Amino acid sequence: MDDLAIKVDGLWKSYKFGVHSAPRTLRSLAGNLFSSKNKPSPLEMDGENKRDDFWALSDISFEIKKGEVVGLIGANGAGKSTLLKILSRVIRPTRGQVKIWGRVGSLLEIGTGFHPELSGHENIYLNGAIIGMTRLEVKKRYEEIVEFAGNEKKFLHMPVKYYSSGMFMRLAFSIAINLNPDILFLDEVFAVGDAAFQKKSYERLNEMIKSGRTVVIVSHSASSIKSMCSRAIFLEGGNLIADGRIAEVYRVYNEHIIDQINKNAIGLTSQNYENKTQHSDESIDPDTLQGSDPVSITSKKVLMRDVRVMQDGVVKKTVDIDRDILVELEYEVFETSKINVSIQLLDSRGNPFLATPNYISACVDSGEVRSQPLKPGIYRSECRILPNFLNDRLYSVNAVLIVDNEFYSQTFSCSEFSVFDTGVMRTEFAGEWDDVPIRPIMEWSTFVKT
Amino acid sequence: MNEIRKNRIKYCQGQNDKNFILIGLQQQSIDISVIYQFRELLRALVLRQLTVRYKQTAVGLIWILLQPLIMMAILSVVFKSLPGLSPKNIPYPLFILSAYVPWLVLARIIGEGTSSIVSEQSLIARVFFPRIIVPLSVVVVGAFDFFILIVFFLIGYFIVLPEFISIRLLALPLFIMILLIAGSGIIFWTSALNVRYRDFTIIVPFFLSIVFFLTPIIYTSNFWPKEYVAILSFNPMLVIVDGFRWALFGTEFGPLLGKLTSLFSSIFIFITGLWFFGKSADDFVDNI
Repeated sequence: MDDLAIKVDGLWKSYKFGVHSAPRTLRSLAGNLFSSKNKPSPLEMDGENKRDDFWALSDISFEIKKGEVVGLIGANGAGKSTLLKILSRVIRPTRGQVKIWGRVGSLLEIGTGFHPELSGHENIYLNGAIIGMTRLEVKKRYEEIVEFAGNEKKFLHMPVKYYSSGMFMRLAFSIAINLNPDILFLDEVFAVGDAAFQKKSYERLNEMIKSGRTVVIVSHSASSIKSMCSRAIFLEGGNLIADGRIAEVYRVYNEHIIDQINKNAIGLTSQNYENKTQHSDESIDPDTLQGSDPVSITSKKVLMRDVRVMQDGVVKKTVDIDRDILVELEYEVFETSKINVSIQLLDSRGNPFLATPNYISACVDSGEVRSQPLKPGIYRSECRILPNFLNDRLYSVNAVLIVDNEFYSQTFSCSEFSVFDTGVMRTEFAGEWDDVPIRPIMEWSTFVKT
Repeated sequence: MNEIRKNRIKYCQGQNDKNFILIGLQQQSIDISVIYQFRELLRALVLRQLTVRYKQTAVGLIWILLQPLIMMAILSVVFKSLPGLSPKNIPYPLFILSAYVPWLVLARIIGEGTSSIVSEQSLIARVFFPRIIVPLSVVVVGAFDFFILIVFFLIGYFIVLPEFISIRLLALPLFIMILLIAGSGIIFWTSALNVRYRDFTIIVPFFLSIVFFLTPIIYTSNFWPKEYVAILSFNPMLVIVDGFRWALFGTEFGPLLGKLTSLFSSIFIFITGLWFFGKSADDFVDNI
C-alpha cells in the first residue's frame, strides 16, 4: 500500500453518441443545469440510455507501484488514450476514481502547450509552468533541455513557428523528458527525430526508469514496450483483458490479434467458404465446391479440410519459440491419385518466405504412404518446424495440394499463428531483432586471428 | 550514485498515503490554493498574450491609446450638437473619454474572454490545470491595458484639467476593481457557455454593441427615462462609469439605490459565474 504510485478503482467513461452533431439548444442547457449533478451510474441506466452511450472504458481497476514501468497495449480505439487522459486529469471519469501519488508529467502529443508565436526560450518556461514548476526550477534545467534538444542556439530566440518539424519535435520531447516528473505518461511519442536523437531519448528514458520514476507508456510498437516495460496492461473495447508480466500479456494480445484477423478473413470471403468449414465433418461433394470458392483452386480429386498449428499436441495460436511447431494438414481424397502436400509460410505482410513440400527428395524422412497413389479417404500430413528457427513474429500458413504434379493452393483462415520468444534466445539481449521472418540458431565460431 | 539515493529519499517522502491526487468526478472545482500552485502558468499565459499581441504589430502599444482617442473624436463630433447630453462645465470629448476607457477595457475582456477556452483547446485537451486560469489571464491582461490607459490619460488630465484634481481620485482603484470583478464574472459565464454553444462568439459582440447605447457613455445617467431606470440600473457599468466621472470631474454620483443595484449585479454575476464555470469545466475537453 505504501509504495503505490497509481491506484485505479472501478473506472468507467462514457461518451454520448452524436454529442457533437445533435442540436444543442440553450433551453436544454437550462434544463440540464440543475439536474445533471448526479449522473446515473452505468448499471442503473435503462436500456435506451445505454444504447445511446459509448463506453470507452468499463470497470477498469489496477494498481501501479512506484518505479514500475507499464505498457498499455491494445488496438486502436481500445481506450488506451482515454485512460491516459483520465490519469493526466484532462477528462473526468463517468464513474470510479483514481489516486495518484507524485507529480505527473504527461506527453500525450508532441507539442503540447507550445505556442507558435513564442520563441523556443519562452516556450520552455511556458511548458514548465504547465506542469506546475516554478520559474526557478525550470531555470535549473534550462541548459539541460537546450543541450538535449541539440538545436542550434541561435534558433532559441526565434518563434517556434519558423522551426523545422524536426527541431520542433526535438525541443518538445526534450522539455517533457527533462522536466523530471515523478510519474510520466507517454503516448505514442517514440518516433521522434532522427536515429541519433531517438537513441538519446531512449537512454534518457531508461535513466529515468532507473532512478525510480514510474512510467506508463502507450505504444503500438511492441519492441519499445518489450524493451522498456516489465509489465503490460491489455485493453480491448474499453475492457481490461489482461494485466501482468509482459510475456503473458503479449501472448493474450497476439491471440486476440489473430482472432481479429480471422474474423476479417471470414468477413471478406464469400459464404461458400464459411459453409465449407461448417460442414467439414461430413463428406463433401467436390462438385458443389468446384469453381465457387474465390480463394482456392480446388481439384475434384482432393479437398483440404483443415490446417492446424500445434504445439505439445494442442492447437495453438501462439507457440513458444523454443519447442517444435507442428503444422498439420488434413485432406480428403475422393479419387485415387498421387497426392503431395506443401506448406508456405508467410510473414505478417503476406509475403511468402518459405516453402516446403513432402516430396521424397525434398524432405528429411521418406517411406510411408505419400509416395504412392492414395486411395479415397481422409489423410493427415504433418510438418515439424524446428525450434528456434522462426523469429518472434506473426505468421500465416498457406497449404498447397499437389495432385498428379499439378498445384492446387488453398488458404485457410485459421492458419495464422504467432511465435513467442520465451526469452531463451535473448537472455543476453533485450532489444529488438531485425524485422526478418527467420532467425534460426546457427553455428558460430570466433577465433583469435593474431 | 548520490543523485539516485537523493531521488529515492525524495520518493519515500512523497509516499505519504494522505498526499495523493484524487481523480474523481470533480476535478475542476474552484480552489484558490490550486490556482496559486499554477500561478506560473497564469503568468506565462498573460505574458504570452501580451507578447503575441504586440510582437507583430507595427505601432504596438500605441494602439491601446489610439483606439479610445479615435472613438472619442468621432463620438464627440457626431453627438456634439445634441443638447443636454453632458454637464456644461466638462469638455464633451473628455466626458466621453472618461466613460469610454473603462467601457473599452470591459468590452475587450469580454470579447477575448468569451473565446478564450475554445482558443486554448490544444492546451486544455492535453494537460491538467485549473481551467479558470484561462479566463483569469484575460482579465489580468485587461487590467494591464487599463493600467496603461489610466497612466497616460491621467497625465493628460493633470495637464489639461488641473482644476478638477481632488482627493476623489483615490477612489478610482475601487471602481477599477468593480470593473474587473464584473468582467471576470461575465467571461466565466460566456467562456464556459461558448465551449458547447459557439453561438456566443456571435451573440456577445452584438450584445455589447447594444449595451454600449444602454450605458451612460455618450450621455449622463440622468438621461435615462424614469420608467426604465430600475431595469437599466442592473447594468454593471452604471456604477463604474458614474464612479469614474465622479472621481475625475466631481459630477454628481446619482441615486444610491441605482448604484447598489449595479454593484449587486456585478457581484451576482461573479459568484454565479464562478459556480457555473466550476460546474462545466470538467467537461470542456469532452465538449470542445
